[in-house]
Amino acid sequence: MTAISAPAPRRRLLDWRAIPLGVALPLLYVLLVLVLTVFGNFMMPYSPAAQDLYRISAPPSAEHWFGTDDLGRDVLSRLIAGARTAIVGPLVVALTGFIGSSLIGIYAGYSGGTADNAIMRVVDFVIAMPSLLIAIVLVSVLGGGYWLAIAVLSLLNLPGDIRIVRGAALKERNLAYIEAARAIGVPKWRIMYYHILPNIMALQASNFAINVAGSLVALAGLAFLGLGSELGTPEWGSMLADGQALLFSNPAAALAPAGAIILLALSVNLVGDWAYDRYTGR
Amino acid sequence: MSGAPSKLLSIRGLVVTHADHAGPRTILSGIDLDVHEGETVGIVGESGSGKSMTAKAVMGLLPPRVTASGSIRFRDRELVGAGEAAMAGLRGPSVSLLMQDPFTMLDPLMVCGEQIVEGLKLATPHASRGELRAEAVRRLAEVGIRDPDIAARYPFQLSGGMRQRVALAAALAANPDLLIADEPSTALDVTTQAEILNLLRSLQQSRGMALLLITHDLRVAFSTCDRVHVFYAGRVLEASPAAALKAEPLHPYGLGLMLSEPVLDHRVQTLSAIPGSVPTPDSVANRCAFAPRCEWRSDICDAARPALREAEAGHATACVRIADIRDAMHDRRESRRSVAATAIAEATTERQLLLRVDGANKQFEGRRGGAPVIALNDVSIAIAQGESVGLVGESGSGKTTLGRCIVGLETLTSGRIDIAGLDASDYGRADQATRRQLRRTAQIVFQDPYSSLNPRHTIGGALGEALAVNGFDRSRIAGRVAELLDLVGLPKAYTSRYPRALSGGERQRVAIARALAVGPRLLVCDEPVSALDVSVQAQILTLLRELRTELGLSYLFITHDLAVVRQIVDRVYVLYRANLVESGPVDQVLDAPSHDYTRRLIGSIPGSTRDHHGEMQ
Repeated sequence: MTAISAPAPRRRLLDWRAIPLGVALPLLYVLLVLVLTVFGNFMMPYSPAAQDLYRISAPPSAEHWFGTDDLGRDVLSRLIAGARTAIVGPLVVALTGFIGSSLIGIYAGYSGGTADNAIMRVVDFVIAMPSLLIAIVLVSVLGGGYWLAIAVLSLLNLPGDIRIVRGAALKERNLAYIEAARAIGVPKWRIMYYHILPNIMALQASNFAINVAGSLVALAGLAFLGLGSELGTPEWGSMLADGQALLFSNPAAALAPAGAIILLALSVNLVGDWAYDRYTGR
Repeated sequence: MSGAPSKLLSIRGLVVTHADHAGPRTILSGIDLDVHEGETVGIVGESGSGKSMTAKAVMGLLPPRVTASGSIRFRDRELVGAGEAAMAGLRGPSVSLLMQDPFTMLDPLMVCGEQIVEGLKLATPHASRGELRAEAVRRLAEVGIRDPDIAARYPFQLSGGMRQRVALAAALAANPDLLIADEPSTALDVTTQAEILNLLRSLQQSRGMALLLITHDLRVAFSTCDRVHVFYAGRVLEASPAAALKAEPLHPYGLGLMLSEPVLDHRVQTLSAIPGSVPTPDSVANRCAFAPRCEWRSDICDAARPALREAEAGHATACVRIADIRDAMHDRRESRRSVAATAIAEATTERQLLLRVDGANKQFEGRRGGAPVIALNDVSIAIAQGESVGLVGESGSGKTTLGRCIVGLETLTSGRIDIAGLDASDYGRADQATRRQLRRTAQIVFQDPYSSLNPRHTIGGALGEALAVNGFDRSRIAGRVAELLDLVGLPKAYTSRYPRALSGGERQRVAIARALAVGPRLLVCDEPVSALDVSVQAQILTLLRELRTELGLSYLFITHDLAVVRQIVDRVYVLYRANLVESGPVDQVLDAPSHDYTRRLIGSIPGSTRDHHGEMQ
């Protein structure tokens, strides 16, 4: 089926009707969380720090949809306030992975030889370490904190991405279009970032989604262990940790943040898969 | 054909469609085809004709989301709609399939003997291990592998030809009544191709089995088959005894296909090509599928889909106008006999030398510390300004390596390359200005136009980049891109298109335009037509011929196809296992080869092209 020469100008980027329901719902949820990170302040019913001392550990009611926690704070408001912390960290980790792996991974894969060897041995070394354990130790030794956790996770996450991207670049390097570009005199940096990068964007997009979902769970895990933001900051992981004790008085205090984390991780993955399939034309 | 052979396979009104999110797409639209006991039937077609899909439909091996309707009868059993269990029982003892690429067809983790034993078990379920092994060795001998040790080797330890023999023995293990061979020789070298085809012929006769041979090459079909079906855009345009079709094709497409094949024994004045490219079956659903590319088209051709009917006893055609145009088609065949003189540049030293390669050696590191592989051994060639030179050899002969060294994609181990007086032995050591000058003098066109264009860049982007990186004034790039497209016969509108929207021939035109962007004087063409359909090959060869006169280009034409060489080069070098074994004017080398290998190369081309046109009959 090689000789299809129908006039095919640029495809429309996105046709909303072409999105299947199994992708539309996760996509809506991700968009909702993104909207909350920006406009959450105007959408929460109470201040996340305000205490309703008459209703401590109260189950869901008309005033407090998800009930209150052990200090009488509105769970829904804290959930909305926590959206920002929940999503910004994973985005930073994924972005670091995307940029770092694009720069270093393509360079290693395309150059080969000594540079590739040196880079990959460092990568192997970092990958061989149990990253979440290292993160826990490092973050607790250095005194915790949201941005520290993000920085440590970003660095530990990067080598895996580099390895994936290097493999993809290695495969592209042997294709004739790269040879053709070399023959015509296209400089090395341009071949790497103008020719190879667009051809591995599908991989990068799905990898980005996997990174967001993975670090979301990892950061929530660190927060759960008390290694996230400072005490009192609304954060889904620490809310889950605090809510555990209230399982019999207000189960929503634990289940709501847990559900929010799981749903977001799942949604991001589903949307990422779909984007990959679309981009590669499957 | 023998006395009254009974029908073995009978296909009637076979329709195959592929349904995905973009809606249903027709692949085959109403195929009729019969294979009798002990008969060899050929299916000839270009890519997209649906010939391989026919084989898959018969085998019940259609890919996901592809469905068949109509009727495929094998003896008394209907195969369309038959369950997987019924089909599985049929595959092997009744019908078997030999595929194009022996490397992907064999299990890489299984020794050759075991691959055959798998099939033998179907035929003789109660045989012991020892009996099966002994039989496997016998079967290998049947396909010409006399060394019993081969049974214990893995496929990767064998050459391509040997692998295809093992694959053939495996396909025949369960003694099928019908063997379907899908392009069995295409992936092999010319000399090996002839061996495999001869083997297929002799096995078909000694076993008395029926053979359905699928090929894109009319010469292969004529040399092997009793009857031939010509497929085009998912339907049969012509069905005839091979000899009758060879003597006189009765459909303009059959004629076009025949004339598109480069003639081996003389140079023709004009290469005849079929304009355009193969349409999708759906775009030509209710008319003659070939009409859009046919020079004898009239309104009647677009009125309805022509049925296949007999124009002569046993020779059926789907051309409704055959009675009117038969004489014109005959004249067209005759006109092909005119011989064009080949411009022979005897003394290249008298003309200005453009390329000179002196004592070129190239070694590649052996795999895992093994002995180094010698790709070029003391090879010297020269090309004069405006001369077209062929470099002929089979895969592994070093011909591609030499071409790559000339344009700086590889570096010689030792030896010297001079291009227009500049030292091109090592592009890496040359200074920036020299390197740029070399690139402006020598450029390369690659074999596979499907992978040589970046799928994420537009055509205009690809051409513009070639200009920009070579210091072309940015404000004039758009104009020059349009010029380049015009030069290779493509409309300006293609600037904003992506490669996937182009056919193979169009992509190769873009690749040529990119190579020409910097205005080179020498074009290294590495098998530039071998990945293209026959009808399109001639278009590209014609383009290259025209460009040569228009721009005064020199060519280094790297190919395995001697007919192509005859049509396009003045002088030829023959490479054999890294060594230059023969060189000289093209007519001299092809008509009176002095080296044994060249003789073998010429001898292994299926049929001579001359008897295509009935002159020998």
